[in-house]
Amino acid sequence: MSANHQLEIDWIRLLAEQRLSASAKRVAEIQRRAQDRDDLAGVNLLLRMLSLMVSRTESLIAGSLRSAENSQGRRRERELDTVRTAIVQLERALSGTCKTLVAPPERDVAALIQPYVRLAKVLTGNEGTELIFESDEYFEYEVWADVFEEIREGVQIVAPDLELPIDDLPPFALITYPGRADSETLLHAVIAHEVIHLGLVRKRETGESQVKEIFVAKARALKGGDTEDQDADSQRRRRLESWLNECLADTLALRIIGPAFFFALVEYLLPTHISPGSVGAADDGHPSPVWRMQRLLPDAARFFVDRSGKRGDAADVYERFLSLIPRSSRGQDGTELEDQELLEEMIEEIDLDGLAGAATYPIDRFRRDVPLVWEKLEQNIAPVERVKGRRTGRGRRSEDKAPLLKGDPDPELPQTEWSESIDWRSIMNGGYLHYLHHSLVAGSPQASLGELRQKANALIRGSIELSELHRRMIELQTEFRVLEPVRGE
Amino acid sequence: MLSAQAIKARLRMQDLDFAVTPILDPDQISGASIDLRLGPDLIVTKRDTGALAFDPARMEEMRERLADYQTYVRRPLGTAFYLHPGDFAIARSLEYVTLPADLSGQAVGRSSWGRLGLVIATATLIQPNFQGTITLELANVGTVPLVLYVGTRIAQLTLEELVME
Repeated sequence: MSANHQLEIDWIRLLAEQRLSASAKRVAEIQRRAQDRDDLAGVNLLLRMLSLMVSRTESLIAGSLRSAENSQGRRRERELDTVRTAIVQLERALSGTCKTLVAPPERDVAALIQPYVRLAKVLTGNEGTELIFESDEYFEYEVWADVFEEIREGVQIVAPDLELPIDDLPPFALITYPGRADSETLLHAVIAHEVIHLGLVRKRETGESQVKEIFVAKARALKGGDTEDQDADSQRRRRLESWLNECLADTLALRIIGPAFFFALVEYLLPTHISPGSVGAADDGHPSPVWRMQRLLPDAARFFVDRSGKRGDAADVYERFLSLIPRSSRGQDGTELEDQELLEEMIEEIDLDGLAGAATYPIDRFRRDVPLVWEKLEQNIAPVERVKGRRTGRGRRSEDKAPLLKGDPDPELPQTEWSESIDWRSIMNGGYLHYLHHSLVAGSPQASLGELRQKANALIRGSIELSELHRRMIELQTEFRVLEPVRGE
Repeated sequence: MLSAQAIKARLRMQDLDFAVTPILDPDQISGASIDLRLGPDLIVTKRDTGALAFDPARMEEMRERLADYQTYVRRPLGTAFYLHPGDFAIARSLEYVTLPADLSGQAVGRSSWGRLGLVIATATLIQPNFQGTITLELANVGTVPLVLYVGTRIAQLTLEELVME
């Protein structure tokens, strides 16, 4: 090999080592900064893949440079090309993936991360599923259902042998939420919609969902308009499929969260997606916002009125809230109406119970928990746990207090467990209804509405956080006893 | 002062005007107190902040300088927090406390931690009608670092009934 060729290889080696070292440092730096994140499990999974990719790229480059030193002509050029491509692929994967980690979730969102991760695990049917969260400058909620996408592409070049293991990785999604609304715990019920999208994608991949088949069968004869324009036909089909996924995500989110999702969706769409006096416009991705809200009404009403027509405790709050939703259907053309009817037919055929599965939030739990949450919030008590053996019933009889204060043990009281955690969704639902009651029904002065909202968000956020800690501490009770070497008074 | 049984009884009464929540197990309420656990939010003091003194006569300046002096950290449940000799940190109880009009409380350290050098010099009196988490001022006056886990029982809350005429 000529001295010039050796010099070229040495130069490339030096530059490659510098770039690889910078990449490895970047991964290590993100890892160091991520240690206190509540979505750490997901972040670690991602960083492990990136570290693996960095080390594989290092060995690929070292091997290619060795081969280049012992080769000539086109083979030598091929090896050097491999080095260049490997660096570019690594850096592309790294920048595409790392940008999801540089805007970590705010402190106020942390309480919701683990509850949503648990829902994602159930919805995808995979215990390994992880979510990471990112605050964003746009006032939008979004999901990127496959964060490994960039790595997957890079791996094809630098480590084809890793392709199969990467394909076997559990579902891993990025949830983006509006950073300016980080303290808006109530509004974050909308995140459920994005988590459902991940579940639907996964179920489609594993063939557990019939959504695609139902769509294909129903949309087969769909025409784009009066003309024989095939592009228009396929454009309409694409739009319809997207609308179907959005409607399905709304319907399922209501089932897995409860009416808090409905309230949050309306509050999210109402100020910006609907111009006064109109119904807002559908677009290629989403159907008309007002229609989205209105089509959820029968499902939302089930939480407030039972089958016999008996109204529940918070029915008046729900009804007052409905008055905020525009009723007009102006602005919908014939095609849009036809599509809406077709969508309802499709959703009718889909096994919604099967898709929501164990993630469903039972209406019975709503009816059992929400009065307790409400009652606690009325007393400014964080609704965290249901104390076992608590005296229930309306009104306190004077004879209840005297023997209890003497400390007489109640034979019916459980001796081992003090309480059970309140489901975070019950806290969200009860908290939302309590807030809506005070802001819409009880008639708080306009000036204090902002304060009321802020207080509701803070109390609900804190309660969910404590309820999650309570749930985890009960799970880890044995470990916690071990962690308390200092015992005694 | 309320006994453990009286505390349990009042926590279980239907009237929701008194709460210490969440309670992991009934053992947390014993003797005449409720054990409080270390919450996940901490404000720790920075070292190397240069010549720094707090003068109450110059409140505005003091508030500004506090930001240079303290930093907020959050540790997940079960993770360790090291309190080195001479260190001072402000923590919060994990429990959210609501006191009724006829009860006041005192948050004090547990003597078993005290023997290791941990002083919980909190503003001990908790007034009736208080709502929120209890602030705990932690100082390690011992000579070895103390490892505190988020969720560990670190302090205790005693309750007294007010005499109202």
